[in-house]
Amino acid sequence: MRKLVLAAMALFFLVTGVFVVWENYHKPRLLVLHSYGTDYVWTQGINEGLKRVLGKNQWLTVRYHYMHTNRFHSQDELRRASLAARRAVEQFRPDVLLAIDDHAQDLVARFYVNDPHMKIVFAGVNGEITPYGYDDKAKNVTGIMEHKQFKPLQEMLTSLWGNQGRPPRLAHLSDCSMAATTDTAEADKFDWAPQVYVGGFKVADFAAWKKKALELNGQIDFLLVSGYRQLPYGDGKKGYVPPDEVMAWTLANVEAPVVGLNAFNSQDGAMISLGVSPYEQGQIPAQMAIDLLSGNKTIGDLPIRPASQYVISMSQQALARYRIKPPQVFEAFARATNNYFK
Amino acid sequence: MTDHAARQKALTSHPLFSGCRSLDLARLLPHVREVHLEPAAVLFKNGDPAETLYLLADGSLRYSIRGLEAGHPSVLGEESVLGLNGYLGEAMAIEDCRLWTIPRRQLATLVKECPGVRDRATASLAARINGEPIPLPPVVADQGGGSWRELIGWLLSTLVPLLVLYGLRHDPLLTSQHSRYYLAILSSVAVMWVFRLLPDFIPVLFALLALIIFGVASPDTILSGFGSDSFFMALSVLGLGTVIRASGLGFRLLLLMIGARPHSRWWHNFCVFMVGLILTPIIPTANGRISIVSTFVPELLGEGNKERRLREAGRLTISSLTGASAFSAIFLSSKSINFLMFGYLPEQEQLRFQWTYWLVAASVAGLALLLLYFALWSVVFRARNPAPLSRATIRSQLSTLGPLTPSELAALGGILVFAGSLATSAIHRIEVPWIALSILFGLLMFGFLQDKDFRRDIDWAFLFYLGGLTGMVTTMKEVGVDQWLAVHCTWLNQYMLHDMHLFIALLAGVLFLVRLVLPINAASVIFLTLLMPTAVAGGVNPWLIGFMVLFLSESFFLPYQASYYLQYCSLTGYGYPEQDKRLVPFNLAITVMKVAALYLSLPWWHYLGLL
Repeated sequence: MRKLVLAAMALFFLVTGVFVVWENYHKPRLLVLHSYGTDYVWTQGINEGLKRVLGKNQWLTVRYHYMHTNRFHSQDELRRASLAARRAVEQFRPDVLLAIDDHAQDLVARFYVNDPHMKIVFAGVNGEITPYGYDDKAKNVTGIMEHKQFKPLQEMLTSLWGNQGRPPRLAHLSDCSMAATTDTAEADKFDWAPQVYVGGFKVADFAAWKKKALELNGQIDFLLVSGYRQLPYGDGKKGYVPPDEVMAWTLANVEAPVVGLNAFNSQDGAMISLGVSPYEQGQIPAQMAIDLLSGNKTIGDLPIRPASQYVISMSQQALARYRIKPPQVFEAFARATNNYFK
Repeated sequence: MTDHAARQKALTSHPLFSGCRSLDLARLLPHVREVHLEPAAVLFKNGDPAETLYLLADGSLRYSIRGLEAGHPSVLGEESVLGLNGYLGEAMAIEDCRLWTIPRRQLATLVKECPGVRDRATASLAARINGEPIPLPPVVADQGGGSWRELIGWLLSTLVPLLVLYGLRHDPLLTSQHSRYYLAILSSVAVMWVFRLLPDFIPVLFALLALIIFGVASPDTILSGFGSDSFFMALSVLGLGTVIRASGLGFRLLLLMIGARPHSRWWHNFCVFMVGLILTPIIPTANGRISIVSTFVPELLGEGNKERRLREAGRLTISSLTGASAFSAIFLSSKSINFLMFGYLPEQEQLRFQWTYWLVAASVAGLALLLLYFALWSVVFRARNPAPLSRATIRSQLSTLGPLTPSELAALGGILVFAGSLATSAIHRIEVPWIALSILFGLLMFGFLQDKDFRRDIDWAFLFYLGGLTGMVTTMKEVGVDQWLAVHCTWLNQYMLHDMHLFIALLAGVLFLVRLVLPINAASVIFLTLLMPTAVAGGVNPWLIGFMVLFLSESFFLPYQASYYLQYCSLTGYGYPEQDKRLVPFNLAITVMKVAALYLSLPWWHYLGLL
């Protein structure tokens, strides 16, 4: 009898083990690969969007990997981030790789283009996608673009400027990061007429930022900013200048109101910002991933989409400094989306 | 003196009960009876049922065995303590006697709680039979156990947190009162560890309690370590280690290895070293491994010339200790403190450094240490004398062990399932902690690990320590103290980031000094807590820094620096530095070899992208 009981126990153990392995093996896997870290407001917003969709789907295994290239982006650090992320992909072997922002595409996802066992959904790409191999030959790639919303921005600036007898003059100032370089190129290409676009300026360090910003005094009515988180001090001191410090100096020394191209710019101090919605950059690719993993749709059914939603954010302190009263609907929108900063 | 007071004094002052708790003696007291004997009255005869223990209060008795007088004892009837059926001798009063009696049944209860009573009773009876003086230890009055170290430690553990609170009250980087409370509590705990005021896990209990009461973070966060992957992995590996250790599989492996080749001293040392190394990933405590390899040392030494034996003991000490301990950092599962380091890693690094990749990343350091060790060993410990142990002895030992027992098979099965699961992880994709937990479930389910062994043999104190510390690190991140530490350790970051060579030298030097006063676990915890958040903040791979701390902390040159070294000396009677002058320099050389092994690993870590 004892032997029979032992055999029954062994059967129970074996069947349970096989079932667990079988279930685990067949559970769809999604790897969310962020270029940045959770200390970045942009990443937090995207994660919020991802959760809205993925939180309702418990039938898949989701794993997150952060490359932290917002803080560590020297050539050597990018090499390490790339190796670590590719190790995570190889180890997890996801069915869908959801790669967010440019470094995730450039350092990782492009190596899996046309991988027969993996599909790529990208988000947060604000430049061209062809450098990553996401062209007509790529049969396993879809996603959502993150092109800056210049048209609504232009409308917002017109509203803020009012009727002063001449169109406002604008300039774009940024660091030399990958995203900021793309933003500058896009801003340069955009047809700003009737507003006067003085130019886009990329600077190497904080000293150059200060110099250029002071030069622009008197030449512009709005200073557009997007990337300033990768500004070295430029005076021999190591590390990057904290973004709130950059913005505090800029607000104190630049006569023109500072307008952000990302929603989080106003958290740093920019007077008003209009940026691509991070929630949309999370929600849309998450839904695409769910559609692919559930088998409801194929890559062919899911064309690459442009960003269509944006958010407005404001800094009450900066608005008061420039004595600008934005339309109430802007303020209500910013408050409703928790983007009104005091 | 009243009757009750006299009875109480008889128990508490008698050397037989030395070391027993007051609680146990108080329970025994109602069963103590007083008896009187007239002169020439017989207390008991040879063969009478041994139902009572007698303590002489007044008078004198004569004790004899088989007609031969064996002294005038003050305690009689130890047979009742030892569980013998009858008394071995005869006791008769010489004059009026007053005795205290204690019944056998109550003695059995006492022995369960205070096993030393049985040892002392055995020694007392044996000495009387041999006509020797009775060796009962004198009762040592309780001196309170205090020391200057403890006094200073407790005063500092009160004062330092207050100073921390005061000193940091205007620190601009500490944005909340919670972070200041956290640092104050941490400083108090660090003082308790440094001064060894309490067992390691108790200060952690204090920290958890204080963090919750001061509302530094939510209880969910503070206690999150008890639900972490590393907690369950440690629990499971400790469970498997218990079964392996208790099954005797390690001892059988040692016998098989020693018997596999013609005997030579070199081969014996190699076997002892290799068995320690083989057991390293599967028995998660260095003490457990030492207890297995050291059992063979006296037999390998044999009898004969003392000087020669001491020289061989030196060799075997180095082989045993190095094999069982020096490679602890190479395998995730070889030491409980490794699980703590694992728990300190950010989540995605935990997923990366599961068992196999940990080994891959540490492999060059391990290999370099192995080669350097054998090179130096063969120079310092050349052995030309023949070995004393015969193959026939080994064969008879193996024959006595018989075929593999079910426990050994279960232990072997557990190891094979674990290894197999790691090898096939690409297919099943189950994380290592849950594989380990499944094996533990299997061992418990099939009864290879009994529930009483589960309660008794698993180091629950360590698990509490692990869970508590992991939760403390999570709390540290939540209140921003990790960032504060990172800012204050920027200079260290610079070395980590820009001059790893210098950083390794600095770390080795500081750890060497710290290890003179702190035990391995406390030194590791303090350095891991300080350096790993700094590494994360500075963009340095935290595993790398954690590994270096673990690898370098596991160094010693005197027995007091490592509990398993003391254990080895106690189990074998050998290994003391004064017995062989080569021991201290060799152990120091191993520390140097470890530093060299780290330098040799740098290109490998660069290749893996960890550097």
